[in-house]
Amino acid sequence: MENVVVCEVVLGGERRRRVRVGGVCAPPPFHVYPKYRLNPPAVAMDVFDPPRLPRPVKMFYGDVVLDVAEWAKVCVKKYGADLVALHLIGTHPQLGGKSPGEAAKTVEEVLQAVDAPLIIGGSGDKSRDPEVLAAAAEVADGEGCLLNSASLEMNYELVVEAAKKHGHAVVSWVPLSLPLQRKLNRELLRLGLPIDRIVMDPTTAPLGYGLHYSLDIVERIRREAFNGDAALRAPILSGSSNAWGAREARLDKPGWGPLELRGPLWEAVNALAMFMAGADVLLMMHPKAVGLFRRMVKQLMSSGKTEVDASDISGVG
Amino acid sequence: LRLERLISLRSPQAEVCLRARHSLYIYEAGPPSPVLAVETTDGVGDEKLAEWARRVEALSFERVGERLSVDVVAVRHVARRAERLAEAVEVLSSTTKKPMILCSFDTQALRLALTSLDGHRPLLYAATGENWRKMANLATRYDVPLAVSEPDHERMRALIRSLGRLGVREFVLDFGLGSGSEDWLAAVLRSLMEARKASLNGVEEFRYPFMALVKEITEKQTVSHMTNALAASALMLRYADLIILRETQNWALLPLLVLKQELRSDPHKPPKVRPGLRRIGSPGVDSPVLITSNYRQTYYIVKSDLEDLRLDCYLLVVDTGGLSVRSAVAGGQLNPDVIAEALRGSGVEGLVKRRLLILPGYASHLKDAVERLTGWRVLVGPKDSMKIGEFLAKNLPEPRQTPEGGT
Repeated sequence: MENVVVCEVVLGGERRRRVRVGGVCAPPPFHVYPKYRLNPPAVAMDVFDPPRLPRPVKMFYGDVVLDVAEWAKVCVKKYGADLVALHLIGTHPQLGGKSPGEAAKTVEEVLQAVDAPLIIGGSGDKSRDPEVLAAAAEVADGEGCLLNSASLEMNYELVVEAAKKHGHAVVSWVPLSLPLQRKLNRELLRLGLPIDRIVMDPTTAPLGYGLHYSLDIVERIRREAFNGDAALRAPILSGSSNAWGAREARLDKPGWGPLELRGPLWEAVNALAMFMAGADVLLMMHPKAVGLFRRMVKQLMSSGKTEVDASDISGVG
Repeated sequence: LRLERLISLRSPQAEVCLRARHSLYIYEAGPPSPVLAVETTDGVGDEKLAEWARRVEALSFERVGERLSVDVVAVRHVARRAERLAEAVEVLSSTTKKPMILCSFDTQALRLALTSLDGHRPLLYAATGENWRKMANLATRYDVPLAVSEPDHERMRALIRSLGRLGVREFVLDFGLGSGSEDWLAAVLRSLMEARKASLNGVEEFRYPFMALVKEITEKQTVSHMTNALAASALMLRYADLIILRETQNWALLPLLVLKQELRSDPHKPPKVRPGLRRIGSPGVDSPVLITSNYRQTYYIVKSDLEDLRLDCYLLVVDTGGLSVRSAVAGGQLNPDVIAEALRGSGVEGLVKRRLLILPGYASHLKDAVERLTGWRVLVGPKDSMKIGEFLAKNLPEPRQTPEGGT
């Protein structure tokens, strides 16, 4: 393998399956080929506590979503999820307001249920998330989780401290901005989190709702990393399940065709596009979309007859 | 190296331009403008052909004020009689307004079709190592662009040079492999990447637009529709400027058309619109005030939905830092304080008597806090503004000040 520019982040640990993400040696478009990456893209399947799902996903899963640990197990055992993305949305004051301690219990249950590493997410409540993630980090000590996320408008110091103390990595989340991504990463590095414990999420806008912004930012982040910006040498995570935010994935309208096919295809297109732009970890929701995405990645990464050569491309255009 | 002239395909009613990309990064040299074609054959009867064309013509989706549809129709010559292609083309040109691609290696069939196509400028598909002299002759005589099909890069370059010497000026390059092998997609994508990289590094012969055909994958049909749509998405991203597929299922085309729209959009336009109050229709003192985010995509979708419904209302665009409602609720940028502040700052309190605020469905859990902070009556609207008409009809029983008296 040539020079690894995008770091490899290792999730999991001694008691848990290890999953390596990132480890990329060429900028887009060449990063998709096995020759230029240490690891295939990782699929993290979303589970929510409590379940809040678009109708087509809920219908597909059925009642299993009522028990988040069981749900996680299904994602790993039945659908082959590399990672489980647990979203502790019940900690939001308006969604039940679970305490950090209660949320930590949920984390423990999911850790018990699956051997895949976890991505642990809060509720988006800036004031509560740091404590929720810190409590989760503590019960998951040594399990090599990915804390989702640190953002500029919260007490990210607390998240970083918890990650360092208990051996986790951190998602560095910014709203569609390269300068902010650089700024937050530098902050995390300044606090002593090594670059190989950072995964960036510059926000995935759904297909039809600004995906072009996300494709562009991911490519530009990669370009900067390969041009030598050390603060951007982290793998990239894409919340491709955001695709369900699009009405075309979720709603019925005459002329749009069957929802049970349209929805998963919508999510799969979203994930495939983000992978081709440079994402290394895909958060996904519908098992059918996961299957389709995997199948396409396998095709893309299959050994074709033509040799790909990523040399002489910096500074092109 | 200047990459290309625009290659123009025309029907009497429409023009579609093929444009080569100038960078390997998707948006580095401005947004790409991929073109989508669907294919049929002349092996079916006139009736069926017309029906297919009408279906393609009807395939269109309104989105943010834009009509999304397939750009071009391709017809493949499979019939035994050479004249059949001309007949098929005549049926198509009377049922669809779209420009055409004529697909055949039989120059006799192509010549007859070209003669019968008045007011059209189709693309000829394709010149190969076998037929290139005759194809050059057709392309120059009828002044139409020529697709060249050859998987091997060196042979492709030689072909382009030879065709150039015969006077052909407008090319579209197809590196597709003849057989539908297992790894055709990987092979085509690699080929497109290599060729585009070569053109950017100065290889003259590759400075033209590229094209790709999405091959049929024989398996369960719904799966095949999905994988074909995904393959087309991948090709659209890297670096096919024209894609031909056989797909005409609405649900499988929809994401492709929307991806095409995304790719054509300029990411350097900021994702934010100016926050503040907007009037939709002619709102009065009883009109509701609807809340949305200042994310460009959200704003334009909501605005066009409200306008389509001919509603009279105020739309209060809250500064969410350019995040969508869903993301801004998740990320906390859309919160009760921000909403209350925006409401006070907008001056709408002086414009309405009814004081009725409608929150987007994704912000449902903010309802109580917003009511407390503002003293307004707050209703939680649908998650999608597509459903706002139904919602208002159901939840605003009092007569509203609209000419329609309620949608």
